[in-house]
Amino acid sequence: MKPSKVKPAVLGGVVAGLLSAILGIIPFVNYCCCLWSLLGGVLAVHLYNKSLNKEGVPMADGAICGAIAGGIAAAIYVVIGIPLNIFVGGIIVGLMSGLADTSLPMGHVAGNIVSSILAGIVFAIAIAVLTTIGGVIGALIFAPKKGAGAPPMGGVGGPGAGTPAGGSPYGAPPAGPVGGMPPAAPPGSPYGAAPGGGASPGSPYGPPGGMPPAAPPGSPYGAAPGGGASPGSPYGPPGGMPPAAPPGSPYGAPGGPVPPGPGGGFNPPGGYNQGGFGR
Amino acid sequence: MRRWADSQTNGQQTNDAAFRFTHRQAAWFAYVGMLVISLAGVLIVVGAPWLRAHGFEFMSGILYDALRPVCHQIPSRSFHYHEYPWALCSRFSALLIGGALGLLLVPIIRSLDTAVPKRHWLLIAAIPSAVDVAVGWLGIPNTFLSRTVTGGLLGSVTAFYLVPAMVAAMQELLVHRSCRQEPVAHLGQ
Repeated sequence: MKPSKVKPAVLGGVVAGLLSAILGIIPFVNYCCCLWSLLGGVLAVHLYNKSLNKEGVPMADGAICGAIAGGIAAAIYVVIGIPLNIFVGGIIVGLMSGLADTSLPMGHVAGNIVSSILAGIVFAIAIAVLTTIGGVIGALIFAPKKGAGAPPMGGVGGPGAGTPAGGSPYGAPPAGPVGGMPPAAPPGSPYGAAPGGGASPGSPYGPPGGMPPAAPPGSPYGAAPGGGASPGSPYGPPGGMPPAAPPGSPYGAPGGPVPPGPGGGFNPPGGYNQGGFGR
Repeated sequence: MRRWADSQTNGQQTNDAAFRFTHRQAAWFAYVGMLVISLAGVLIVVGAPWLRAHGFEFMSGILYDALRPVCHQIPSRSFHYHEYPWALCSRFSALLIGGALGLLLVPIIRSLDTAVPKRHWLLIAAIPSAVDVAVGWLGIPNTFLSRTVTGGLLGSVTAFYLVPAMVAAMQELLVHRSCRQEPVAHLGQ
């Protein structure tokens, strides 16, 4: 079971929020405000990676961590940063009016406060966005290592999972009329099988979602998408079933844990193939 | 196009109307979201002097104040609209506008469904900006053009990293995890 993201995200958010709020009133240091937000996101992902025993953080988890941290940082900035800015701004205005021996009209002061609050809210939104970006950057930095069960960069275009290293020695049978498996690409093809498995268009029959095409032996691109039920078919999920392990494979049937492919596919405990959905 | 999945439970068909994203939809969802946020940032930066020039002093002040913690806002280092400086300096403005332009270029030059480029390209793109900043700190004067160009370069290259990263994150969240939460009900039928 994965550890919770909340604790590292809260820590990252508190750091980003406090640094943005407190250091924001110091001249020159406050120009690094966006840096504190980015660092907060990266810190949240770093802490989450530590709780995962440095296995690496998938892109989605990094974005979630960063988003939670961003929300907390924005809230902290609204609670601490805005009053602090108004207070410091008031002191500066008071000093200046004392030096000039004039007093500002009450309406002007109230307008300044309202302006500061609205500006602070806009900046808090910017902090939330920047911290989320920081989380994504953190996921780039602490990406799962190749072959560690997850694709190197978020699973886009990664090698296909579902076949053990070296590829399946068995080809998939040709697609049948009723929800069969799509034909596999010929051995040696670098692009995997063509999409389009599953029930034929409009067919009310066939298993729920065909099986996605299998990657050919040694294919660096993995299986292509499109193994789901055809449009119009009332049955089957859009995504189709995960790729089958080859006959005699020690790695289990569809739905079970699937080992990573030659370059490391992301295989969650549920057995859903996340890696290498092709392009 | 929306795809609605029907499900069967115990042989009785029910329409649970569960919305499921395809990979392409999730990718465009992430991309359009990023584009909107990026363009909103550009609008804030350019909108502040525009509002001031058109007499909306209060609204303009809010936008200037909102970005004050991020940037020094020195007028001599900023682009101007009708003698009013933009809300960010030229480097940050170029970073933001370069990022927006990079976002627009990503689906043209590369696919949305693509891998994150190798990290060293980002580091290479960051070197000119880092040198320009370091030169400024060391007291050697850099120019308006150097700040703008180096910032724009970094911003546009960064977009090529953020888009695939956010697309991958959104696809994992909207496509894969929703499929895992709602397992296939009719396996083996």
